[in-house]
Amino acid sequence: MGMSPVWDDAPDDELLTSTRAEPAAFGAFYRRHEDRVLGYFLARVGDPEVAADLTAETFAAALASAHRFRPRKEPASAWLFGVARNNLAMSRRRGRVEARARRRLGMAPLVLTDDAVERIAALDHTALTLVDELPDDQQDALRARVIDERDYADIARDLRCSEAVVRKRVSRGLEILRARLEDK
Amino acid sequence: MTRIPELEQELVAAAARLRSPRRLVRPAARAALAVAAAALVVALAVVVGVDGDDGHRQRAGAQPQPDANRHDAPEAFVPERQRVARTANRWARRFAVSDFSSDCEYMSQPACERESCVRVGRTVLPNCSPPSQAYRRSFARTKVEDVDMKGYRAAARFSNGEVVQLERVTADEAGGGVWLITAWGRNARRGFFEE
Repeated sequence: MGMSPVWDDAPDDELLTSTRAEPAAFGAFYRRHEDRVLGYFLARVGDPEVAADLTAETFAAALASAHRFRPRKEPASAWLFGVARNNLAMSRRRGRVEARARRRLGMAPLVLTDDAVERIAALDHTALTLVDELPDDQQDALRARVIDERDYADIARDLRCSEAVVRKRVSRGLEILRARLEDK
Repeated sequence: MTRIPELEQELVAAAARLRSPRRLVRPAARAALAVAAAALVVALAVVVGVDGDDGHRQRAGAQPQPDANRHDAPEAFVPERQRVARTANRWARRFAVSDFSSDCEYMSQPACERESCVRVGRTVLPNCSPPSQAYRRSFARTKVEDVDMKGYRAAARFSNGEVVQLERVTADEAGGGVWLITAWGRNARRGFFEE
């Protein structure tokens, strides 16, 4: 199945709302977010195959509910990462990677080639590992802002502090990360 | 090229299978479906009207309070406030008796990790204290008394005075999303239940 570059410049909201009529739109959405979702899971579970399985289920769940997606103030990637977080939490609770959405869509089980496993393992998550070493308050702010792409007001409500404090934590966290990455 | 090209192919093929089922429905059948849908809306409106009357009878001048035990309808048909109350009540029952290492039902992943102070992959969360047994037990006989909603976020106040925060995520198959507990404790009420 070939790629459809015609969709590659379309915004995420348009890709999701067009998915039911134009399946290639979801392919473009997948290509755009694959690395970040894989990286998100890889940083949390540390195993490329489990990360791939969680990624497959996340995109399947996103596809299954794409027809209910309505563009909002927050970016579509925040919606996708909401699905990813929920998927990880459910899988953790049940002790196995969920496959409900994939079954519902009639998708074949994912069988990874050695090359694919290597490509996933090669995802550089050094920065994410370094995030774990930051103080808790900076970690929370940085993850919410940079990884989950939430807006400052939303994060401030969640962390029970002012927007200015969140901005300061994110900026300090990034400063420390930059310094540590340069050391490496 | 993507890292997992076979997954991209599977997803596009699945999207193609989902493509617009409306095209398969004949116009006559579509009209019949529209009539059935209208009848369903009328029936639901009647049910909601009856519920509203009950609420006003229970507490004149006050907002109808959610009662998570009254509704057995499929999730998609239960009003959001009651879904929040239902989730919070179910969470409270489990939270009161569960061991933090074994039960994260109805919680978001970060909240779940903060309950056990352990991240996925068994990294210990620094500066984190798990909730005390006394705090857990205070939820044993408690029930949601009030719900405050702000978009995809909500807070539920229990009869023991405690407040939990929830967030709606959109990954279920029934429609409308599911509510998960994202915070509890003294700061959970911030931004909610403002006088």
